Amino acid sequence: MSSIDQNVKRGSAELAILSLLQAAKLHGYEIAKRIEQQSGGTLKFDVASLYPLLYRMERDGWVKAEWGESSSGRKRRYYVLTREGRSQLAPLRAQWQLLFEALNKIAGLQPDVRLEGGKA
Amino acid sequence: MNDFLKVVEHGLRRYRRGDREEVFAEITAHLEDIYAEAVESGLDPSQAREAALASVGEWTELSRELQAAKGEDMNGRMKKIFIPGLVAMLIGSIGDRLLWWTHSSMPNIYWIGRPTVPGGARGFIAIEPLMLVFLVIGGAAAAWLSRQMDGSRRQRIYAAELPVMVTGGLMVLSLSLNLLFGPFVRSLRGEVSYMMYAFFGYIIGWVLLPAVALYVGALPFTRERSSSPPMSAA
Repeated sequence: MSSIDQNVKRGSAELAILSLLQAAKLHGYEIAKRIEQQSGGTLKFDVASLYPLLYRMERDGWVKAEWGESSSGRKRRYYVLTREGRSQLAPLRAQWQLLFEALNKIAGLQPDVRLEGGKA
Repeated sequence: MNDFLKVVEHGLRRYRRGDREEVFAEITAHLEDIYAEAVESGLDPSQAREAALASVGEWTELSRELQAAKGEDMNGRMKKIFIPGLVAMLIGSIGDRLLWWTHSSMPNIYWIGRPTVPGGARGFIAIEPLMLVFLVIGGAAAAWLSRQMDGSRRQRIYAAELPVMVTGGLMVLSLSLNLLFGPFVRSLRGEVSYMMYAFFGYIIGWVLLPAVALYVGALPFTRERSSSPPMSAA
């Protein structure tokens, strides 16, 4: 059970990071911050969870990193989506879409359904 | 101003890849960003520092995770597996020499089962108890050294078992060559079954039993070492 849990976590985190990097190159802190903001605080990355994942994605060739200057003039390591990473994005999205649809059919996981259930 | 770089260098001192400066700089930058934002949001500097360091959690674990994510380089494998494994082999060899030196002829070897080939070995499986004791020590030394180098549990076991991996590999190679080209086989044409019987005897006596001895020695050092405490606030 724990291995499934770990795989789901990793898979969802990969999708989140690839999706963000599709729009812009970002450094580690920005990635963590945006994921937290855009998920309404539900998803949070700390140093311990973010960098092993980023380095694994870099090793697999999904992202590449380059040093650059941030808006504050500090040196930061920016991550850019590679062609390989871009090609991973569509299948990942499709898989997660499929998973959510399947779970929704079983457990009613759509936000509105869940709210109604909560009220009842 | 916080010197997070020193904290990171200390916390990740077991990270031994060639790109350590780059990794340290990146983690440091992340901690600085958390700190700056925390101060901006109204926390006092010591609270902001704590918030930044809390994002790391366990340094030893982070170091291991980062190295695993980057993939072990040759240098890491050398320190965590091969050198400790060679130490185990050295201890085994010294033990073997000592046993031969202290016994005028053959060391105390006990044979189990009937001989494989007439005029060959005196039994099916050879057991050399004193040699197994040396292998327990060798396995312990290899696993301990690997742990000192921050090897994972699996790497510590690989290091301890390296001697039997080499021995087993050589035996399989030797058997294959003999089956293909060996004069031994040519002389025993039609008696390959004898050879296979002897081979399994050797594998049990000189590979499997030593593997168990090495593992027994390594066992106390395969548990996780208590990690260094997380960095405290200044």
